[in-house]
Amino acid sequence: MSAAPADARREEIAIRASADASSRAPVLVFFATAVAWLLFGSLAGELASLALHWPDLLGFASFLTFGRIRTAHLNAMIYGWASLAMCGVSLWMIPRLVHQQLSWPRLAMAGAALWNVGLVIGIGGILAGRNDGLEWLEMDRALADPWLVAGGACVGIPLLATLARRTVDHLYVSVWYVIGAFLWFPVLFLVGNWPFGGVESAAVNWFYAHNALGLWLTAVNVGAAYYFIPKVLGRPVYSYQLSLLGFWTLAFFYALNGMHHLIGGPLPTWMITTSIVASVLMIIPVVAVAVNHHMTVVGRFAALRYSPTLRFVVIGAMAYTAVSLQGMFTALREVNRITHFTQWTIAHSHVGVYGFVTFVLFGSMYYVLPRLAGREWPSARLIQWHFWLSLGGIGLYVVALTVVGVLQGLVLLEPSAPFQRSVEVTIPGLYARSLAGLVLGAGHLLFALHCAALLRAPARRAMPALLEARPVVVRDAGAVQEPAS
Amino acid sequence: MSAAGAQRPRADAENPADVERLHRAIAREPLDPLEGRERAPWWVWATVAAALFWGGFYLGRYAPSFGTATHEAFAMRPGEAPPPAADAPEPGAAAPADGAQVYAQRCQSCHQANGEGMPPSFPPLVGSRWVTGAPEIPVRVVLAGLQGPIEVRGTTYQGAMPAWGPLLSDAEIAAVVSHVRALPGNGAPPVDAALVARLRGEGRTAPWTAAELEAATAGAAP
Amino acid sequence: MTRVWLLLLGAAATLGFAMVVLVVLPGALLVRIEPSAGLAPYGEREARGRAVYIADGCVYCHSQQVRDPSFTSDVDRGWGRRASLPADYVHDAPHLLGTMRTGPDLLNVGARLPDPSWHLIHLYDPRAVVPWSIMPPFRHRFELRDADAVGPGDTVVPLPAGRVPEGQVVVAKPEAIALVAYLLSLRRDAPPGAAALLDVDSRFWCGQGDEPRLARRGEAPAAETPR
Repeated sequence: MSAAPADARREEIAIRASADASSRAPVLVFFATAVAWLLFGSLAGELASLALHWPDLLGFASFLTFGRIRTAHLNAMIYGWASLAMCGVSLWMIPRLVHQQLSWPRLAMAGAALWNVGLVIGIGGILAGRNDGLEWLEMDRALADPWLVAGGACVGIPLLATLARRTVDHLYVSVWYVIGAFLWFPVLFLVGNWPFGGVESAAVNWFYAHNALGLWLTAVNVGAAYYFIPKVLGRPVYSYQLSLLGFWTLAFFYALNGMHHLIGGPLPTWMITTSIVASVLMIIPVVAVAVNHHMTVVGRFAALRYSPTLRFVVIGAMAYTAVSLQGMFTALREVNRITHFTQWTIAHSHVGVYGFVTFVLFGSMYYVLPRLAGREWPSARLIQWHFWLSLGGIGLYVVALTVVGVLQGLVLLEPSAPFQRSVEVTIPGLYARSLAGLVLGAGHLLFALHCAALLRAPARRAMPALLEARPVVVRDAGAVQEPAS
Repeated sequence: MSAAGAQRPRADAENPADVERLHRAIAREPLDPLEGRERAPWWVWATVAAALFWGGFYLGRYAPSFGTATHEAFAMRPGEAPPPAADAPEPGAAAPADGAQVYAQRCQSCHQANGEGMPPSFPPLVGSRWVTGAPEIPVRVVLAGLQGPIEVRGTTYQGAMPAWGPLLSDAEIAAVVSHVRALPGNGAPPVDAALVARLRGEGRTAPWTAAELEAATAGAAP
Repeated sequence: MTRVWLLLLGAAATLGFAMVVLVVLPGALLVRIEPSAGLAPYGEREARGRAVYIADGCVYCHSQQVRDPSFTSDVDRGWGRRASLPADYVHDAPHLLGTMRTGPDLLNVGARLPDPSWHLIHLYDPRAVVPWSIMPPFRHRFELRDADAVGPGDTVVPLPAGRVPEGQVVVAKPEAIALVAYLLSLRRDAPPGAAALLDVDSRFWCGQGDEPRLARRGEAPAAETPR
């Protein structure tokens, strides 16, 4: 490939430049608002964490009650930070991957505005005590959700229109995941908000909530990992066969997982068993994707030392494998009877939404933003700090809550142990979680300031902000030549 | 390869500002990713087969019926009959009861762990003549509850004690009353389940008042 | 893959299959469930209380399900006499089964803790009655008033001395009373007969004045489903 003719290479660059130019404005808006929600969500999460070990701290204000501020945290992180950033990554990747300019970029901009209006109404409502009562679907279905649906449509339609006008024949694996996610999520959101009653309401609630994770957050971010890992390394993805296996088994098995949140609960046994089986069979897509990613990176792990994108995305992909394997075991009845209803679950969900989703999104933004801004990241040191604060923070978070979660579960299983003990064993973990939240929040603040500096400051740095002095050595030597040379 | 990488900084630094400079990052990139044609390793397929086989087994083992039945096959031991569903068993027909445990589950929220209660709402059990006097009194209060004013250790409380008779077995009530009568500072003898059974047999379901308790117990042996 | 229609169709098919299995079929099966014996629809006050339960996010720390005794210690722990069943939830929309037990299960809390004054104290100041509790105080559902500003219809929370400033009293707002009424209505496993005994009415109420604060279960006006 290094022998590629110069004009073919120029054409390739022109396609990328034109794709990026078309998506630049909406992607920047999505990223900027996503980072704002990340900061708000971090604050809300920290307050919720403090409330659990200092319960009288926030008693003075109704909107700071644990049940509300915790819910604001979840919604700000899932629908604010992660979803907005994922829309940005999707809008940026798809035009590049299908070699076509983004259709109707202004509609996508309007989508960002609508989505954010919905979030302000929905999360403001949660804090004021307007809550639909279903986990992950708390935002008001009359006042807030229509804005989100309209906003999502304004992103999905341009993506599909761009896909319809594609100039490549083959659809790269990232396209499958992103387009699948934008097809699945609106259907799920409508079904999840349908007002069912009785235990059916619980079944639909967890059908939605698990798929919001599996077919929305996971799908887009696995798609992003499939793009950025081979992209940074300049290598093809290892195996098309594994890509196919991973995608279709994920689509089939993940969608059936939801009832494992209700193991032991008052639902027909066959539903719960179906979800347990589907959860364990998630080993198929997880192994397929993990092998595919690993074999793409293998032999080139040293590149993680230099490339911020690769470091964040590869660790995110590893966390995906880890969280999926953990989820498989947690779905087994013998494990679930200990871990269900405990802080273990909270640790598990943060491995997924932080270790995997947020890391992949950070990595993506480290790659995308300089290309859209036409500038390099001002400081490699800030990226280093952000990375280590994020990794250290989430590590402490997960270890602390996993340990106290198991202890809590064991106490709860012991009938003669008073409930009091199940509370007391978690207290050290709750303190550690507040500390971890501060560490993570500090990282987020640095990241936000760095983004602002990148977008506002004049370009001082001529070279990419690599984490160490040496640039990434890529196999495709032709690719690193400057166009002028 | 590494030579190309090492030379890059110089070329980059000398590159004059121009239109393409804005696209520097874009131009620097490798090609967009492609899909390799490697075949999946054999053990991936073995994992797939094993997982599917296990899934079929588990589904057959733990989803015995397709309907609305809940809690089927949840027993940890194979072959164990599913527990009775709709109709609850008689209260605590089982084993000897642990008075401290019943106390922690049922009484402690109001009367507190040390039995000192919480004025002005919840009267103390320690040093209360209602507890340490005739054993019939505490048993009757636990069985049918208590309402109205009651004086304990010089303070008058507005009684609102629920009836535990329908929820606790004779053995559990005997155990918890004995536990309370034996709290430090009380030192009253235990009661046995036979007494509870006899008083339950009287069939009273309405909550007692303090005056009624005194009247009903006046004839009974202390 | 080179065909967009294949991608879209396949993606729709996998999700559609899961929806049939986990939404449509259960819906068809569960719609025939009859309420369990003695389970009445929520009265107006209980329904309002349930809305408060949702608004203040109680569900994030408290479950409302008793799991199978061969699988867990829920029954031994005194949270219920049997595992809960779909029939126990027919009037619940949305469900509040919960996924955390930072606090204890509440499906039968009305049977376990039937004293409204206990609940009012506990909601205003959890650590007044449960020293080790990590529950937040729900002070916004109460008013702090001067002791002489209490009217005959006000429900004063009987807090122990030292938990409220000298010369002041805590009065429960209607939402707090509704929330307590909802909590006391949570009795999904009481055997027939016990329900009548445990019924809460004005005699258990610690407010001033004669007006009953809590409607007797089943006597309340037609059910109103909470939002």
